[in-house]
Amino acid sequence: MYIKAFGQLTDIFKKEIISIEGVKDINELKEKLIKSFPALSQKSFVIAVNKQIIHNNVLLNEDAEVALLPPFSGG
Amino acid sequence: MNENERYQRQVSLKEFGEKGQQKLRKAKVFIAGAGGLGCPALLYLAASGVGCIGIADDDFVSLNNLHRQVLFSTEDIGKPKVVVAKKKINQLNPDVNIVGYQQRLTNLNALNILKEYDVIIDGTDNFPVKYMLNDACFLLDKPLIYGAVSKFEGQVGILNVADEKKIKCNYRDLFPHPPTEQILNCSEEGVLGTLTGIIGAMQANETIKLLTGIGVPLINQLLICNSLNNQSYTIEITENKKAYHSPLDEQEFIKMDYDWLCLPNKNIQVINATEFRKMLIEKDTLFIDVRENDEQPVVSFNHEKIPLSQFENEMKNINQNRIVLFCQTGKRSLQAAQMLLKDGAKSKNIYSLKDGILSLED
Repeated sequence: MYIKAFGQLTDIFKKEIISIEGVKDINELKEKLIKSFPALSQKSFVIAVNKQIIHNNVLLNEDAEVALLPPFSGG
Repeated sequence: MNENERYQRQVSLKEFGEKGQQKLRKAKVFIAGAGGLGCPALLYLAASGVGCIGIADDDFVSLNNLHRQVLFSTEDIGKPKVVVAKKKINQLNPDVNIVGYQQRLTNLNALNILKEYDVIIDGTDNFPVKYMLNDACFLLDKPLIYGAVSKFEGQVGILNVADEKKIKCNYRDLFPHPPTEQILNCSEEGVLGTLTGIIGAMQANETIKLLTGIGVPLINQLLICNSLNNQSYTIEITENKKAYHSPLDEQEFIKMDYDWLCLPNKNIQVINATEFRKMLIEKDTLFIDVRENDEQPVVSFNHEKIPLSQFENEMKNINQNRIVLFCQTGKRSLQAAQMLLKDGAKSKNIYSLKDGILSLED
């Protein structure tokens, strides 16, 4: 599945979209991401699955579209 | 002057029409902050004939504002933003009643000010005010047109307005708690004026749609635009009420300390203007101005200047144990204090002036 990063998170991934395989839910995804990108554990972000903000652990289909959204404060 | 002629090009849109124009004429819109987002939003809403626009900002025009805060000119440097904004908008469109609030919007004055308006636009540049503004709109049940930028990306959305399913989300449904790490704003990480122009104009556009009932406004949605690759991404914000507690009434709201709430590291002593003045006569205390070099007003007491943009590199040269940091509004001094603490200055006494040097001016 594809994970899309926004804002400063793209500096951690070094790109806007990364692909990850074989994760069954959000918790597993977070674990795997932090293992690959330890700097992510220091960052605040919310997660959208299929363009909808989720607040709990949800199951992920292999074709799910996941987005990581950090808060912005500039103006 | 023929008023019909002024708005002729938008009134001739059949979706908008004379009805749309009347709705704008009757509307009262409040803009929090006359900065990168507030300036374009103000310009377009005033030009479109919104009847009354309130604008709050306690800052003064600086040279480094001008590339994005397109309402201001070189000759305005050093003048209060709100005073200049009022003058320029009167020139642009004398139909608009523009109400200037030359003060910082806080939880002590927000409810009184905002209750007079129909729609609130977030043109602020920091988390404490964003959370405060959100909570105020929630308490007053006012639509909040949210906007924010980070480097080349911008976010815009409409909060606190019921969608077709009668669901009303606010900023805390999206981000329940302030970030626990430093998030840089425009003055530190930089921004192109065109991006704040785009996002500010989108906020004005969403305001017009909401007021006139045309199109599909971004209710409970967050639109993220990337100005480098022209991609946009829209997500649906969903309710998350269990994840946070926001003030439920005015009493609870005015007791909140939003600077504290949004402080990633809470080991810093935040002092007010009175405490600051007392410390000015104490020995062995180093005062550091962390504003960038050309910012107004200049202060007369003894201090060092280490702009926040250079703070991380230069802070190793600070030997004193008692350090008072200050900036314009109290935000950047808190960030400098965080940097010091992160660097291992835990044994030092670090103070940050609440509300910045603007709080010393009376």
